[in-house]
Amino acid sequence: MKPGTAWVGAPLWVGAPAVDVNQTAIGESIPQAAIGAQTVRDDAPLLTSNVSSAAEGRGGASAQW
Amino acid sequence: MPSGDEVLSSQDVGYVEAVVAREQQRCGVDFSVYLGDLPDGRESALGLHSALGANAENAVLMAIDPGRRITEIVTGERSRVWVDDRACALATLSMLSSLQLGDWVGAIDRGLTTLGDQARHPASLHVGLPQD
Repeated sequence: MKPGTAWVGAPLWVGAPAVDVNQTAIGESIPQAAIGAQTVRDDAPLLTSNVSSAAEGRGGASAQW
Repeated sequence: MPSGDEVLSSQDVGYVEAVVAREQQRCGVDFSVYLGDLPDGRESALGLHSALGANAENAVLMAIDPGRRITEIVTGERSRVWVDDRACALATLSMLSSLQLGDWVGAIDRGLTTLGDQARHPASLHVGLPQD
């Protein structure tokens, strides 16, 4: 992996992604998030910070949406 | 359902690469972006960060798995000095609305810009060596 460049893992996209990226296309159904419904969604984004790998000196954050 | 190659166009990839270069130049941290499968979540992202080799300690990896709907940001031992965990959390928050809409490029742009804002090194007040 070459640092400093965007690495889009095309080979890793074997099979269809679970998320329907067509939902934002014109004429398609309006995504739930686009109508402000995310505030009442059951699957609200889960943000995890302080996920540092202290032993290796690494840090960062995780989120699930 | 589009195939993987249709998720990002070559124009999108070029745009992301430009954002990476811009933020890298702005703050001196090596950013890398991965969009794809993260079967083991955080562990997978840590493995990808390690794959940066000797550059890993000064690198920040942003990894997005659209299928599992997870985002991981991993900082190295040195880059963590400039990009702390709070900055990473802020960056992921800034990405969430775009991610929920499936706007991968927008999410990456917002996240990297936030990281770049947070990562700017403080100005050096003394750059020369003391005279003998």
